[in-house]
Amino acid sequence: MTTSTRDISDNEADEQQQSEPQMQHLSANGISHAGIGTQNVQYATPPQLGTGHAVVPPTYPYPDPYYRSIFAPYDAQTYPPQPYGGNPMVHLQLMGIQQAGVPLPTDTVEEPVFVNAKQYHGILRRRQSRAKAESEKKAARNRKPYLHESRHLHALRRARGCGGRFLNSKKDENQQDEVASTDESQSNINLNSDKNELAPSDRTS
Amino acid sequence: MGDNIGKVLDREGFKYNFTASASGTSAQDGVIKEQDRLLPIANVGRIMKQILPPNAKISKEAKETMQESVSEFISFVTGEASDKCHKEKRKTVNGDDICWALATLGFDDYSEPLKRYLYKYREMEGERANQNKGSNGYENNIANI
Repeated sequence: MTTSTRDISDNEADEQQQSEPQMQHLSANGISHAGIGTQNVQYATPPQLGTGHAVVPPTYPYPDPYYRSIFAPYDAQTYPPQPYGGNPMVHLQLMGIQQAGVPLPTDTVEEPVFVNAKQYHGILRRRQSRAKAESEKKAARNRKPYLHESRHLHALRRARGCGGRFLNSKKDENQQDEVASTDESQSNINLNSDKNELAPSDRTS
Repeated sequence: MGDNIGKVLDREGFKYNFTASASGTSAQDGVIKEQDRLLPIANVGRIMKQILPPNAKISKEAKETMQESVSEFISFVTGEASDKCHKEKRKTVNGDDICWALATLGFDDYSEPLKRYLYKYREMEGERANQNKGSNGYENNIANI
């Protein structure tokens, strides 16, 4: 338990170091907001409102209605908030639950968080799966800007017009759609992801 | 610890440089990659854009947060369905198991529309193999939700 806790803390340190300064501030704010959200959940009736406030940055007003519409059905079901910062505590709490046999669902060591009874076992199962995945690969949280070096270099070499978009009259519409949704590197990720999605189906069949 | 982290990073770099060996290595090690755990972020952004006004912008952080959320939800529901299949000694998780899992977890509002969608999907599969109309049906079903 102590070793796993240290590993998780090291992973968090790596995340902070690798991310940009602005992202560090954003993540720090997110963490603090998550803490505030947890406190709100402990006292207020609707837990999802706290989670919504914690997750959504105030500088982006447009996603707010989407998140609210998404969280509306969950309010009735009291779906529990699961901040990433609480993962080590969750892991410790799992061990505590297994040892002490606590019947009530508790998300933190000190104060309990009540969840939908139908989802209790599913949540515990997912926590074990996530803990197992994190133990197998400690750097799971690191996000790579691209998956293939060669594709990244190819994208860098392509000619670009005004606004930074690729020059290609034949596939102008497709390129605009892809670039509008994400960066070119992410479109490369998308292409590779499509291949990955096809491969498992082939294996299955 | 620093040395271990460096070695892990080197391994990852090695995997990404050689695709064939990467797949073999990942299969042997049983390591779960990020791209296997998460949906493609471009598709997530596209789906998010459908519900927003045309001039709306979506931040990268919002897409990443939604990517994590929807991927976790898929694993949550699929885990419940897989648990049922394991108990019944079955190896294939089908659409009915997913609908059952949604109802079991308390997502009744989603389970009923999904059953209707599954019913229509099977009708189309039986009559035709046209996937475009299936996609249209899916969009209509989303509109119903």
